[in-house]
Amino acid sequence: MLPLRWILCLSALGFALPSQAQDGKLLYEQNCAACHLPDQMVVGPSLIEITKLYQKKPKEFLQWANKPQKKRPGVIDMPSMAHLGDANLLAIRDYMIKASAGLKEKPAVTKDPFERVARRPEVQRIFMPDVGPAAIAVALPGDLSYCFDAGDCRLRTIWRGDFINGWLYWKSNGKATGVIMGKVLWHLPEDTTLPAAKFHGYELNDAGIPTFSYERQGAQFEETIEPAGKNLVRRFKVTTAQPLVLTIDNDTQASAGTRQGNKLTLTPEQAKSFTLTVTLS
Amino acid sequence: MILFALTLFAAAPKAAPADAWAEAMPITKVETPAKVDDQVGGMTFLDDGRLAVAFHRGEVFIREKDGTWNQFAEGLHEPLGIIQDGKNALIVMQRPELTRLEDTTGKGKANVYRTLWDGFGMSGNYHEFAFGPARGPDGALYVALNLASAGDGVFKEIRGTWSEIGKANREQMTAGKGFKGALAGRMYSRVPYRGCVMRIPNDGKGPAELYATGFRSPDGIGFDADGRLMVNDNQGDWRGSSPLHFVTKGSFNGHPASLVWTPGWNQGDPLELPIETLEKMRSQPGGIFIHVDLSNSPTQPAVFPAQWGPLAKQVVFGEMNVARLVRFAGEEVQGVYQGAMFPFLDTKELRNGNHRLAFSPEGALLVGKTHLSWAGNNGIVQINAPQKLPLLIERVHLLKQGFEVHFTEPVNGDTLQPIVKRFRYKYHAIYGSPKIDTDDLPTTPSLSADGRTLTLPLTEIREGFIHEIRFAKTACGQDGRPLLGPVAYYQVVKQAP
Ligand code: HEC
Repeated sequence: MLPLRWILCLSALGFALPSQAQDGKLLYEQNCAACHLPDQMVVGPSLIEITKLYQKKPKEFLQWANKPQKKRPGVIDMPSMAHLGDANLLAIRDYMIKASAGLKEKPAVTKDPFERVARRPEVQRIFMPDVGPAAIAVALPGDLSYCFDAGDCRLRTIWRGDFINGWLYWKSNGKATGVIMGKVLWHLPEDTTLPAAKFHGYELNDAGIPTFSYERQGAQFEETIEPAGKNLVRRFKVTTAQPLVLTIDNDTQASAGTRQGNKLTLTPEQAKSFTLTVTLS
Repeated sequence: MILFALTLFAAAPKAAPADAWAEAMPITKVETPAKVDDQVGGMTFLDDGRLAVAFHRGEVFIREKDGTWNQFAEGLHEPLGIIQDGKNALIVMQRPELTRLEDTTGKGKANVYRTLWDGFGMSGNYHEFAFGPARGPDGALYVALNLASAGDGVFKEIRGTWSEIGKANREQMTAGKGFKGALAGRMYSRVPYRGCVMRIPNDGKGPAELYATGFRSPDGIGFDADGRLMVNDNQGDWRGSSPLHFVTKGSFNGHPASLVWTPGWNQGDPLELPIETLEKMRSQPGGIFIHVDLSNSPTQPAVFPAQWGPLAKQVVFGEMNVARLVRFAGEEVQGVYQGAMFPFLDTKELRNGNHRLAFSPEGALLVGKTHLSWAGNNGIVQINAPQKLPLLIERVHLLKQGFEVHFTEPVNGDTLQPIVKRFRYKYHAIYGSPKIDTDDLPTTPSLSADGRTLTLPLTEIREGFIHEIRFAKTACGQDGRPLLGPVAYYQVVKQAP
């Protein structure tokens, strides 16, 4: 019952079989162009560079495309193109060589196009060095910045100078931390003995300075960190039924409580409002 | 049923012009805020019709009706999803937590950044993205957590409890010279709930619960028009081609790494389990994004609103690698939801990197782009609901022995020349899969009298196979307009009764 002309049409369709080489340009646009531009390194090297490497080496080109290696630092892994088949890959190679002929390499973008100075105060969450992965970087008015770790709910790092440069992180997919653009004056290492804390977030005051809320061993903390001359002051409001015991370092002075060595004990009443001042050089 | 007798005027068939999609649905650029890295992580329309967008470096902006942008929040860590939560608040999923941003001072800028849920682990591995939230009909928020990638190790300091399950110990998993990537597993889950979908009831107030396991890189999470939870995933290990799962509570959706977070898990390293065991445990995807042909990296689902006529309630997905979107039309068969995928807006003018999708109250589709240094793009484009849709395959219906293809308008049967094939993908630890067990399926098609339904009888329908129905590039309607996206891929999970 099928009309005859229909059957005839089937053979005229010209769907390329997978083993046949297809149009190299189209295949390049479909499979490679997202990462390889003719004349500029973007995600992967330019066609000019690929041509230089593989103009006389079709076999090696196939090796690469079927099983790409890790070669250049700071770039993503190229996905395997084995599904295209060798004939198609060679057609792409021919096209890549043709398309790059006579072009001149443009410089890759090496500087953050969105670079700016910190709006002080400013809060930026990003991976940071030498702390846990849930870091919060804060630039304070003046020249101090700090990193609060929302994982262990502790102030971890203080530095003087500029804020951070996040370009290495932002230009890629998260395989880098922000870079501290100043001199680190104070840092706490990881403390695996610390009881777990629960982070509740932060609220910005009218000036844009955050107050962190968190909870540890039933005590509800609110902590605001501000500059105090060349030092840094941590203002606490803690709601607790039990006496509050904090471990503080030698550079830190408390406004209330009893100190024994590095242990500071505050009554629930004292804990309602107190400060810790970190003396900085 | 009448066989093709009604093709009264058969205009000489010619292939659709290269830019037919763009002609039918013009794509325009939406200006993004100045001096902002405009890779879009989250995008949603507010009740009042304004657009809220979360960008790569952590800014949230609101676009007023007149096109001006006002900043609402900043400093978030890789936000990858955003929804409205009442009058002056938004909820975002950022890498470390689910956060409610609220303006309590009436200044138009969030001053409260309240952590709703951060009870999941972070190893510091770059690939541990956090997607969502999607709001369910039950008022709960659903988020999806990416696995880590053996492309790198973990931080010395992590958040959450380390899982000892895996070939490499913690020292060998730590980034740097000692990192033993070869032992890591291509994608891995060494801190809680990586690879899981989590449910956080009461508008995100919790308490959070593990909802489903088995995901790899689930960038697309959302609910369909009938309240089904859709989560898609990216081709890779255990993902022969990117799947679309209709996720039910307690289900295991294919990638084994996250099985360790199943309550009471006592079967050791899931990557070491026999494939047959995993095969029995896993729930099947209701649709598959055919690698290369449709999508290499599917992204957010969005439900077509009424303005899209016959497509209303169907789902459209973004795609990162290719300048194309993907449409899905499903149906319930023996209690299982499954259906067909079609190319949509398959035009170079769309460009690639199509990451976040949102429909405006007027029905316009906005597409926000990203790349995160992979293949992709940046910026936002807009596609208005067309006055008249191009001719499309509306949906495909599975019969006991064959398929029924419904078109949006009467087609010229002589021009269709359907070819039916089936194939499937391997389920294995290796990255991706070739199409396997490919077979051509002979069929004798017949077109309904109204020219809108083509029946393709087949001698056999196989469960677990994708059935590809491809029409000629020159296929057209009775009015001579070309059939755009002339291919359907129907994933048969269950046969029709
Ligand atoms: C998702 C991005 C992406 C896609 C798509 C892609 N590549 Fe690549 N390609 C890369 C990256 C990144 C590198 C550099 C890798 C490195 O040096 O570690 C690269 C490098 C190369 C090189 C240079 C190898 C060398 O010896 O330095 C060749 C040749 C190449 N790609 C060919 C192709 C072909 C052919 C296609 C399409 C069929 C393709 N690529 C698609 C990302 C991509």
